[in-house]
Amino acid sequence: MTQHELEQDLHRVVDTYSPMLLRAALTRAPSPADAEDVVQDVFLRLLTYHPRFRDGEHEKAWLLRATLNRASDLRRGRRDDVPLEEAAKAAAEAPDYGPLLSAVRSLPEAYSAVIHLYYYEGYSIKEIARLLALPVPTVGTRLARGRERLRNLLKEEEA
Amino acid sequence: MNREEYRREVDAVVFCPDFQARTMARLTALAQEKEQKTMKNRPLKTGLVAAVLAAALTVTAAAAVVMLRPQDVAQHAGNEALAAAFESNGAVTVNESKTVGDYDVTLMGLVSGEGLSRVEGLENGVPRDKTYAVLAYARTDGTAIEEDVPELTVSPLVEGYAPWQLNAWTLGGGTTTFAQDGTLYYLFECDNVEPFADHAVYLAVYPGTHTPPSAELFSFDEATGDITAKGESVLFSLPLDPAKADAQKVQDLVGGMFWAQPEASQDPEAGEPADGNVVFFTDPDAEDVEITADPAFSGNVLAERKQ
Repeated sequence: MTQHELEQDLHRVVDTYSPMLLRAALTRAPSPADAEDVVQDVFLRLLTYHPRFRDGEHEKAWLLRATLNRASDLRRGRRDDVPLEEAAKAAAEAPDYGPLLSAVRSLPEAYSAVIHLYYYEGYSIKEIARLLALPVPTVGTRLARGRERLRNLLKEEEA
Repeated sequence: MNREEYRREVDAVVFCPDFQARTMARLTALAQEKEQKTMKNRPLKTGLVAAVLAAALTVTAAAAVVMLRPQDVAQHAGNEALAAAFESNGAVTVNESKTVGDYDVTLMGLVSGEGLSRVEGLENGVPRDKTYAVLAYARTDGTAIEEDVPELTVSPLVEGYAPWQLNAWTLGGGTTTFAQDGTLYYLFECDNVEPFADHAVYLAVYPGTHTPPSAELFSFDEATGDITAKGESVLFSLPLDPAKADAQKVQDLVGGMFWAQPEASQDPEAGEPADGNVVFFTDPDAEDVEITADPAFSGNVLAERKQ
């Protein structure tokens, strides 16, 4: 592959997947800027690790899972390392998300990913199972429990 | 939940308009850097081929195929720190072979520690305490492996923990593979398993591509914690230093996981109470894909599809 061909392929990947990956990262990353860092890291990993994919779906699934995992790493890292005062300051400066997005972001990660892919991206349970490499019943369970938690969270907010 | 409202809220989040341009600039710079590095490495490759040829001429026929060492594999994967670690006293040489389906699988060696992951240097990278193992696959019929990744899965398993609950998926597993001289080299990484060293720790190799361990592949005795391989699955015992066992780190790793054995066709999470505070581990580093690590970036790097 020539340098030009490589750059063309990188363009294709970045153009095709950036919007979806940024949205997915946002369900876990502390801020939109962090989501951008996460997605950029994932593209760098793609170039560095040189994966070979079976097809486009495999490529998309890899990118999505890598993004969700990097976002989790980042969130965990922040939670573990940041002093309390800084954490409070960061929370105060966090973007003002809408109530639904805020509620989804506050869900356990296993639920938020499934909820986001189902409600925003419009994937079916079967498709989500393939993307996240999970059994179909597990995705169904997470979707149901995620909805239940969302209902409770939104009720609490209204009260 | 109102789908349209959720979409509106997500779409209202503003990302940098130049995100894609910035990302492309970084990727292009990295690709160029890799290309330059490849050019520098070419004389070394020639040297390696010469060494292989010389060895093949002077030793027995059985040794005609000279296998790479774990440090060579790490170097091939572009991880200099890991290559150095495999050459250090901390590395463990195993060189044990078992047959799995149509493949002879050799566990060559392993090394554990911090600072070995290539992604630590990335922006926002967090320190990673990892175990790396190098395996080599050869076809039992003697035919060369060219590029294809065999339909085998590798996962660490730990005595006392159900294979379907503590495995490569829950321990951040990842793989890098490449074929050379008819042998497929498999660099496996996961969270450092040394904290479990007061238990029997295994590296399991079994049929299936990126298949999580199940009750069909392994038996787990809930009373004793013993794990046994079923069918074509095999277990390599990892020679870890029991002095490195660390109960606190184990607790950090396994957290709130639960250990009920799932029925074969059941949702593994079905036993969890709806309001349970269960720690879910995400998919391992998303590397449950075939990964080649050709630093030369020859061939169709990103678009290469394996049908």
